[in-house]
Amino acid sequence: MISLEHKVVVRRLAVVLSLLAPISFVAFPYFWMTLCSFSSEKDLFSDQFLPSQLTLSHYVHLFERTPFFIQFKNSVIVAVAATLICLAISTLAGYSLSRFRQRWSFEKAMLIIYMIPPVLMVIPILLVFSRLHLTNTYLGLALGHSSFMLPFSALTLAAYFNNIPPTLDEAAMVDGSGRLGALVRVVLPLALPGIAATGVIIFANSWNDYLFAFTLMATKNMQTLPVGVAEMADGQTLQWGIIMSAAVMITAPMLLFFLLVQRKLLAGFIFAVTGEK
Amino acid sequence: MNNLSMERRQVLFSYLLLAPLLIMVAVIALYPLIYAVVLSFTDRDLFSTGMHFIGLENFRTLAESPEFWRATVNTFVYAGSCTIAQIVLGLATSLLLVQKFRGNYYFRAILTFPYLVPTIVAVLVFQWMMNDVFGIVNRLLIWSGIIDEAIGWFGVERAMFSVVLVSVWRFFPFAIMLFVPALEAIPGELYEASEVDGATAWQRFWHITLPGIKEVMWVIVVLRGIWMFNMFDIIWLMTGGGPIGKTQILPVYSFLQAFQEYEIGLGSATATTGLVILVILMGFYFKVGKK
Repeated sequence: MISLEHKVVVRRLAVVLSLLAPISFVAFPYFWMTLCSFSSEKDLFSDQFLPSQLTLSHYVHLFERTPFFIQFKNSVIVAVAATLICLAISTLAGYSLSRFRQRWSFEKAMLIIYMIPPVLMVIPILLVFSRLHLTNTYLGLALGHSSFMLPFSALTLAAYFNNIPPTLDEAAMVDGSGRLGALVRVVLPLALPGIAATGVIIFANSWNDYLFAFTLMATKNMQTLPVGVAEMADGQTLQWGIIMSAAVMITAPMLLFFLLVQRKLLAGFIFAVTGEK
Repeated sequence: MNNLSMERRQVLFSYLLLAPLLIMVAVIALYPLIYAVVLSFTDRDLFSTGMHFIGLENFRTLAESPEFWRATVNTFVYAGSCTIAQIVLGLATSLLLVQKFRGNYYFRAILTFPYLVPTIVAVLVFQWMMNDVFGIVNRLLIWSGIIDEAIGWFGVERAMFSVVLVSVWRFFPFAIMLFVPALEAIPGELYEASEVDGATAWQRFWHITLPGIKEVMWVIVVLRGIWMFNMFDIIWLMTGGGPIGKTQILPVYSFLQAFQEYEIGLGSATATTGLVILVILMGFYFKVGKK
C-alpha cells in the first residue's frame, strides 16, 4: 500500500530529477568555464577531467598583460550612459503612455522597430555618427545602444506605471503638486523596483553588445570588453585559460546584478512584452 | 494658455512627455532605417562619400547570386529551428518549474541566468567545450563509449547544429521567463475538476494548459522569431558564416558585404531584403493567428 503522502514525495522527487537535465545543460558551461580559468595550461590540455591543482596565473596574465581594465572601464562608462539616457527618456514617455490615452497604438509602432535587423541599422548609424564626430566616443556608442533599447524600456516602464493607481497622482495634485511633481514624488518611488529591473536589462544589453561596439569604436583604447575578448580569441594559438578567465570576469557583474533583481526581472518581462498587468 | 481647454492642455502635456522619446526614435532609429533603405539603391562604398543611384541593380545582383539564396535558406533553417527548440525546451522546463518543491526558487534563478550572459561568453565557452581535440564534450563522449573518435563540431556537417545549440542555450531562458507566470495564472480548479473527471495527463495538457498559455506562446513566437531571424553575433563570432558558407545567414552576409568588401550599398540591400521577408512573414503570421 502506498499512502497519499508517499505519492506526493515520489512525484516531487521525479520533478526535481527531471529538472537535473536542463539544469546541467544550463549550469555546466559556467562550472567548466570557472574551473578552466583556474586550471594550469598543462592540465587544460591533459587527459584528466579535473585539474591537479588550482592557479591564479591566467587572471594575473589577464590583469597585467592585456588591456582588460581599460576595456572594463570603457564598458562600464558606455553601459551606465546608455542606462541613464534610456531611463530618463522612457520614464517620461512611460508615464505619458500609462496616464494618457494616445490616439495611435504605440505598441504596434514599437513592434515595427523591434523588427529592424541591427545589422541594417549599424551601417547608416556609422555614416551619420561619423559625420557628427560621434564615432569612437562613449556618447556615440551609448546612443547606438539606446537605439534598440528605448522602445523596450518605454513599454516596460509604462507597464510598471499602470500598476500604480492614478488616484495617487490625483491626490498629490490636489495637495498642490503639478503633474511632474506627482510623478517625481509619488509615482517614481513606488515604481523604483521596476525601474531598477528595467535599468539592469538596459545595462546588460549594452554590456553584452558586440555589433555596435565593434563598428562604432575604431581605436584600441576605446574598445569595450566583448570586442576586446573576441579579438583575444581570434589569434592562431589560443590561450584558453586566459580566455576563460576573461569570460568569468565579463560574466561576474551580470551575476551580481542578476542576484539583486532576479524576482523583478521575471515579473518585468511579462509586463513588457504582453502589456498584461 | 488660458484659452486652451483642460483637455487640450492634457493632450499637449502628454505629448510633451513623449517628445524626447519620439525625437530619439526618429533620429537614431527611423532616420537610419530610411537612410539604409535609400543606400540599398546606391553603389555607395565604405570609404568614398560619393554615390550613384543605380535603381534595382543591387537587388538584381542578389537575385542572381547563389550565395544570397543559400544565406536566405540558412536564415530560415537557423531561425526556425532555434525558435522551435527554445519553445519546446522552455515549455517542458517551465512545466516542471511550476510544480511545488523545495528549492524551486534557486532552480528558477539558475535556469534564467543565461539570458543576461554576454553572447561572447556563450560563444567562447562552447568553442572551448566543443573543441575537437581538447574539448570536454568529445572527451566525455569518448570516455563513456558513445562515440569512438572525436567529432568536429564546427565542421561542414555539424556547424549549423552547433550554432543552434549555443543559441538555444543562450536564449531559451526567455521562454521560461514568460511561460512560468502564464502557467501559474491558470486556475488550479480547472486541473482539479479534470482530475475528478478522470482526464489523463496528456488530455489535461492539451485541453487546459495549452489554451491557458496560448497568448504568451503567441508573443514568444513573434519575439523569438524576429530576434533569431535578425541574430548576428552568435554566428559571426562562432563560425563567421563558415565553413564554406554552411552557417551563412543574411545578417552575417550583409555585414561581410558592407564591412569586408566595403560595398555598403549591396550590404544594405541584403539587410533590407531580410527586413522585407520578416515583415511579410509576420504579417502572414498575424493574419493567420487572428482567426
